[in-house]
Amino acid sequence: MKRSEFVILIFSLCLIIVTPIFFRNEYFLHLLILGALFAQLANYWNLLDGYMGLINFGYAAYLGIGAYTSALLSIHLSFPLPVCMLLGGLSAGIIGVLLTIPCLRMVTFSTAIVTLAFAEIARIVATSWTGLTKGEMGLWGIPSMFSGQSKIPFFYLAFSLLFAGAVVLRWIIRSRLGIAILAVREDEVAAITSGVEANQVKLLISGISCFVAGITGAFYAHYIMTITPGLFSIGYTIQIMTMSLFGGKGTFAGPIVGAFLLILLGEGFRFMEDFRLLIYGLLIIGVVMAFPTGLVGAIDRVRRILWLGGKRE
Amino acid sequence: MFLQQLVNGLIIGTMYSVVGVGFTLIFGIMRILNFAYGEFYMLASYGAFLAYSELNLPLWVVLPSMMMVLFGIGALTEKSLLKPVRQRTLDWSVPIIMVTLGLQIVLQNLALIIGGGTFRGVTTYLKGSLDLGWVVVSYERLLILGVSVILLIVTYLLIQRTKFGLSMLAVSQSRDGALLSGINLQRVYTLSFGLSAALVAVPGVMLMPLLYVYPTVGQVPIMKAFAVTLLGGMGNVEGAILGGILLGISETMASAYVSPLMKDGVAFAFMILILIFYPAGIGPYLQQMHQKVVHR
Amino acid sequence: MAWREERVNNDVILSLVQVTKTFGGLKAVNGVSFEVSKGEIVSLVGPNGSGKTTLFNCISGIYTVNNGKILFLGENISHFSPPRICKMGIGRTFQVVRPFLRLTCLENILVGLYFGQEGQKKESRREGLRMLEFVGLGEKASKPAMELRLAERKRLEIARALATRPKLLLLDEVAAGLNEAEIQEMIRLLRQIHTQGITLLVVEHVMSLVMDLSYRVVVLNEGKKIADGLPEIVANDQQVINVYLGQSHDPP
Repeated sequence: MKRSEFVILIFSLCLIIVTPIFFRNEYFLHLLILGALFAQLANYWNLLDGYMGLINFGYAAYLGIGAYTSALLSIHLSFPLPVCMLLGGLSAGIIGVLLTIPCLRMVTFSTAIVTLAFAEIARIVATSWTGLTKGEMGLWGIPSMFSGQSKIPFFYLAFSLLFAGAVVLRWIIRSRLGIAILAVREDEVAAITSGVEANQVKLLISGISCFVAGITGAFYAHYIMTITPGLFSIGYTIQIMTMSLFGGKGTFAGPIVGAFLLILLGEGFRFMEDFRLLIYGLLIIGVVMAFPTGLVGAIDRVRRILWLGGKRE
Repeated sequence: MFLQQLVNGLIIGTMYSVVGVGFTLIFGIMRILNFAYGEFYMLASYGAFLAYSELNLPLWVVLPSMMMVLFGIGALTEKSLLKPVRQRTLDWSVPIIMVTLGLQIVLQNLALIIGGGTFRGVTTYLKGSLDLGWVVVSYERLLILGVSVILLIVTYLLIQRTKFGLSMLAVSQSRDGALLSGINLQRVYTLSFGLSAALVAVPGVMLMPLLYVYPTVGQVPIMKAFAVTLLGGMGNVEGAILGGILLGISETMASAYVSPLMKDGVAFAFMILILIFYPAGIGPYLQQMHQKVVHR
Repeated sequence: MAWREERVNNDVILSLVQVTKTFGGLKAVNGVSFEVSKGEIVSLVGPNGSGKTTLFNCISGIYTVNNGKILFLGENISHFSPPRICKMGIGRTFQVVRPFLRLTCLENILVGLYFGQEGQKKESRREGLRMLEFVGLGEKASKPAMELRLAERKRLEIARALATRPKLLLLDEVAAGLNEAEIQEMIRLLRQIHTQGITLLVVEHVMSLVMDLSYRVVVLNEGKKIADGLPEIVANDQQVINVYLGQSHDPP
């Protein structure tokens, strides 16, 4: 990787490792943890939409699936937590793949609506199946990952997951799979007549993306220890999408930057309680109008990423 | 009972058709999903409430005036918010969708701040009902039916028979072709966005007794719009008309025979099922049948 | 077996048997049959709308035929998926060029290299660069395809198709939009490709290319085949002349 990128990486790593030592404020740590979770979600939503071109307006549903699966497994079957979380991720991933299958034959924005509809259905199911999910009231008493009150272990785990996720993402993009993804996105017909199995690629990326969302949801469940069907609502998806767009779709660091920016900005406006969401909306409009291609940069960056570590031009 | 539900479903279905047509029209012409669509409905509802309840204006004044107001709001939105994005980047579909998302949040919260969160409403515009033996239809529902049908016919004629309608069709089929034919794209976009808002203003006014008015009431029509648009085929107006009716009927049936709680869920499930067999919606099949009938 | 009635000829690489493709009520391709032998250069010509590109789309698997079958090296590929057909050895270019615009030229080739063949090949970037040089685009390797002119994009597309190591190459109007000099270049390039043992099936309007290169010419009109033979003979066929000039048939 480039020298500058390496420096930034080391710097950020140090910053992350050192933060909980200097900043003991639990609330601040909580915000950063949320930031890390959303950054992961934004990154992988970006993989699906920015790179692959599969618009998913129901991404939050996979968050919910992972959360509920993991929570219910841990409560009712008492499996060890890592197993529960893994199963949460897997169920989200599998459902993601299954839902993508009919979407393969559809027009782009149709998939947007179908995925949205699916999230709505999931939310309605979660709300109505009170026997299992306790409905609107939510599921509480979920076992926590770590004993004790401190947020610090959660902090390190969240950022480790983010780091691992980012490494995997980068590896995917720079591999042959990455070129396949871009080829399918640029021109699917040209790609398939050049031998790319477009459908398989789409299913694979959907599975990976949804799996990560599921794991993140599971983390959330065992961190906050209470979850409600609200997790499935479009609000979270919008947040994730906004973070991705703010940072710049199709770029690499973009979604991460966007996520932390939005979380911190959101908190910054908390004192204006009633007006907070209003400002949030105005912010979205303003930023998109000013920078339609995102703050961190345009799709050109993708090319640069593919060449990093390889031959220089 | 079955017939009663069928009629009720049909009537509400025609309103869904109107909602769907406005939404699918904009998709066909601009290739975007207007997430603030539900909020246009909400504004019309609030407007209707104020005009009818507070100012005591009759319905036949309220409806057209709300349509005009929303037309203006729609056109203004397009010109001030969407046009700049279009001019900044070639790939403007998704950024514009994001802008409408932001607009949705802004409008919802403005309504919350200014109007408060309470549910407002009017019991009914028209009291009484028509008893046909097997079926009982309230005059209000008949009024809704009448307005929807007239509106749908007028819209259809507008698209098929007028010069503006032709330009809308042209843009939806080929943006470049339309440009080459000398069509003013900007004008088409602005006017059709206004038209779309005017269309959804009608259910906003007419359904107020049914759904009441509150800041987040817009969630209902947008979900219906999504479902109908998808069912009918993205951008397909005839499909949306049929799709709306199908949705209305299936929803009412589900509510009556399965469970009122699962009403929305069943409608979506029905929609996804249809899409599995007809990925492009039912609209294209309508057009095939249309051609066979007309051209043979 | 289904194809026993045809001559089992080891020299035949592609065989179309009564291929029909309908859209709604329109028969875009109507019962077309012909064969292409290994090592041949066959031109597919005909007025606009005669079904040439549709036929190509059927062969490469983008469309499924409604009737008839397509045999490649003896195997019935009529219902195979496009990636599979590509891996079997059919490459193609498009009438309206379709490069991966936001990828670099080299990356365009890499798509073909990585995915165009059966199984994972240990292909390297060096291979890709070599192919770019073969079509004369060596210096443009790291430029995005978006920056190429039309003639260069056509060559890029050919290189990408070549990267999939085809046995049969379908070329759809490669000469369209090129000037005289570029057409000569193209003929030279196609000859070079041919000498490497690749069979060419070419859709073309530019007659100089057709007459210069082809072993055989197949003529389509309104979805039907109306002529099939040596270039000089087909060019003098009365029906073919009428179809191109639009005259009514007058007996001599």
